[in-house]
Amino acid sequence: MSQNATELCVLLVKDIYGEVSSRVVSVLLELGRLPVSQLVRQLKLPEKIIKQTLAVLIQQHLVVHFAHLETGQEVVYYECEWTQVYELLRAGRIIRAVEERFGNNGALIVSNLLQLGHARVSDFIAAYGTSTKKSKITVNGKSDALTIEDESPITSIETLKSVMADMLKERFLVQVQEHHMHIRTDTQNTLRAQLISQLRKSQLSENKLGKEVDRQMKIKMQELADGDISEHAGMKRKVAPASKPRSKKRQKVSIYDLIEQEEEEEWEINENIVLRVNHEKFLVLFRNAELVSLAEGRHGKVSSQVYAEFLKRLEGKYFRCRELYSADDDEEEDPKKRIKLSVLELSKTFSKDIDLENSIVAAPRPPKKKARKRSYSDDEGEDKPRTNGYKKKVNGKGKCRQSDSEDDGDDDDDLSDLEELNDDDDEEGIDAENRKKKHRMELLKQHMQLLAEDSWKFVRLESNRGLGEWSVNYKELGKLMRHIELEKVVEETFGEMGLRLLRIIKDKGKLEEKQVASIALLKQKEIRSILTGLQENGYLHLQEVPKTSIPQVSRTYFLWFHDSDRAIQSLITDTHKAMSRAIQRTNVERTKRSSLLEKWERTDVQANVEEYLTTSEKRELEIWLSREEKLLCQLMRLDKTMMILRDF
Amino acid sequence: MTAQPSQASIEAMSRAVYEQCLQAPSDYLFSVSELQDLVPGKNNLELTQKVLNELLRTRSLSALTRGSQTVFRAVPKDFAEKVKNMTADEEMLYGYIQESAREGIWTKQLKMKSNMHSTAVNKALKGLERKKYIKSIKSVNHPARNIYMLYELTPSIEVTGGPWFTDSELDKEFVNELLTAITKFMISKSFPKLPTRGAIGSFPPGYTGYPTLNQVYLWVKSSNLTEVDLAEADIRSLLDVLVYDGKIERVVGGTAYRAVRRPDSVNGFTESPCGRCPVFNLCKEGGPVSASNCVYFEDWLNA
Repeated sequence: MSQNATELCVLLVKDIYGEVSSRVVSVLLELGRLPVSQLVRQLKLPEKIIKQTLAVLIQQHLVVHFAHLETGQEVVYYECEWTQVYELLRAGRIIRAVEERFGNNGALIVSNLLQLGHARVSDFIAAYGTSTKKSKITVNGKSDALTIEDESPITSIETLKSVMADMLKERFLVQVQEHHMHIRTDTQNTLRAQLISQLRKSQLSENKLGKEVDRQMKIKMQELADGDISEHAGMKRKVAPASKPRSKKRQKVSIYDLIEQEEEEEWEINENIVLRVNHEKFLVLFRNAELVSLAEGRHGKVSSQVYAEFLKRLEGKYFRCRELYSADDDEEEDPKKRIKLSVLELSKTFSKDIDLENSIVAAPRPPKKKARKRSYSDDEGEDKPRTNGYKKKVNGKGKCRQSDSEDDGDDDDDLSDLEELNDDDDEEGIDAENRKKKHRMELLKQHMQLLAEDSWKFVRLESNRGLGEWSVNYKELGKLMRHIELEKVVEETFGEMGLRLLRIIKDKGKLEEKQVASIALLKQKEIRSILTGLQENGYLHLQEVPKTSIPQVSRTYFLWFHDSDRAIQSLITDTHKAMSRAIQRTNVERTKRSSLLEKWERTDVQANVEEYLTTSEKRELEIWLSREEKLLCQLMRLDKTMMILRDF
Repeated sequence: MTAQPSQASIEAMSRAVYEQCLQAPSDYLFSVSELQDLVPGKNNLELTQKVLNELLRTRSLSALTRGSQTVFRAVPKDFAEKVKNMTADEEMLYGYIQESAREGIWTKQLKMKSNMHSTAVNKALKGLERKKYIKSIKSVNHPARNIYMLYELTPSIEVTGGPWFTDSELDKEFVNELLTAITKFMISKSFPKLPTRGAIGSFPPGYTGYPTLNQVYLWVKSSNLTEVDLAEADIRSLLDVLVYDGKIERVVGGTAYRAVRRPDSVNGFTESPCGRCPVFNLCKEGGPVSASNCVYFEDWLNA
């Protein structure tokens, strides 16, 4: 992690949990894992305070710990999970996403869980039951931002529980497990040690042993990361409340079948389990949303709606954006393992509200089959693409309009053609309802094909089963999205020319300045400054290749190249820094008006703003509020970029 | 012994031999014995010698060596005509310039090759230029050099830099104008208008009617965008640039092109004041530039 990320994390903790917590976090981030004694020495604070702070941070999952046996004594080390600290920023985003799916109750559950870090279901319900909505659990000053104004009538505990169960099932909430609280490297090391001692008995050669351990490690870590993925994880039968959650053994194939099975028994959430918010899963959600907006910009509203529905169907099968342990390459190599969905399946749940008509225009030149059927080949000759543009231009604009209206006519023809096609498929003759359905399915398929045809490869065709089975190559799309973000930044900073140069160099590999200029059709003198600018920002790099054995500047090739990972990394660092600055500026703006804000926050003033505040104070307050809003909004926009760059 | 043939008859004979030589392929090399056969009078060595001398004098033949043998090549008529008007110096330089073909040759190199004094070279070049046998051209790569090539040749692309160069300078405006025009053309061909609402739709998947390179080429030719004669390859490089600009993409297996909608170039980073801050690298808390004294933030907040 970079220095800029540290700065940002410390600022975030300071904002929410105060000065002491931020100092603990800052020391942990700068020096790595430390025992309490070291923390005391570094921070020069009483041990009691540090321990209290750590407890809070551990409860919030911001700090993890692990006990080591050292010289016969147990020493507990603490480490800061900076990714979790960063997630603090996304609280609002997560609550909004949940609200969209599970309504106010969901938002309520999540916002409280975010404040609490984790909570036992029974405790949560008890607290809710006794205090309903008025006394929302407030950890620190953050309550303002988090609590949702819940004006709906008080929800019964039963509905709350069922919403919670749904969220657990969709993995927006997960059961807290021991390893969640432990330092990941330590968990890994212990596991490895265990495996090695187990496998030693099997008398494998050292080399083979190593490989076997690596292989099993991957599986085990994956299991740990996935947690319990059986269908009724964290649930219990309603009739038999004593039953424990299902075994944690991973059921690789059966989960898909299970989902389709009809539920026969009534299940409800097990009140003994401890829940936390699963940030990983939300990222999957955000990634899909980002992809959909990308598709909308590229193919228009309707295609993007189809894409959104498609991604939604796949969503349940993706636990996180980037798999840490199971090698992604496996998935790429083995098409069978890919997660796919056919148009037929998609159409079953496809929202009827989405209007698929009038988005795809039939080609001006109809397919051959049609041309044969109806003989208007005279017309066709003119519309042939080979001479199309040429002739239109020659004949002037009148011709253009004319041919447009021809297109319109073609469109209708094509639709009726489609239906005819369907008729051929089904000889029995189908009623209007069915015909409409088929037509709709055909349109769906067309949109999927459009998405697949794009050079951005939104989806990929797997097989022709069920009107085409499609999968999503998230890994490549992630790369693409990152590159698009980079391109945006380059275009904004260096203009169109910079973008052109970057894309040329990315496409061609390594190039000399002269070659770049000749491909870009730009002057060598002009591009030189842009290239160096791009290099300064870390988006381009220079390689020297001496022509002679003794390196001499005049006898050296200088080749430009683009290293995508390095470029993205430097952009991430810059974005972290920009985010820190936005927060710092907010703090500066706040301190500037601290006395006014203190006055404003007094309860008596709040109750009677009109009377206690002067006009100038009110004006100043307005400025502050708008500025704070602007800065926070910017912070969220930066976070969106960050998600694409770092998390997708 | 036959009587000594007159000068006139030798000239007549040499012309006949020359005509015969021209029948052969242009690079054909004649050996002495072959030429001897061509000379009337059956292996009359003396006569052959005289005819050959006459031919060499009029530059109708040029002598070359192949191995240890001397061989001859017939010089094309028009060239022979030209050479007649040249001085020896001029002729030598002309040969070098001719060798350089469409690349042209730099005067410095001419001097080196010919081993002539620079005033002699300059004089000869002046003479040749005046007779319109050679011309001076400008190279893109070496704008300061004096480069000569044969008058009737057009300089190669390496020398002129292709159609994009006007007076050995890249004509940016010209290129940009063409790029914009082609983009507009591509857009008009890539997004069909919907029958209703006037919104923009898409062509169905598998649509192959997107313009190909040839169609774009024909369109540019017919559209009177430019007087410069652009080849299909030039249009291809324009289209390549557009692909790199992200404005169009290759479709139908790379044979055709279509316009694409570009994503907005703003994101969280570029629109924040830090994203375009010129002193972003210097910025740190407590430093000369920091979030608290940042003027860009102030402007941005006031905007």
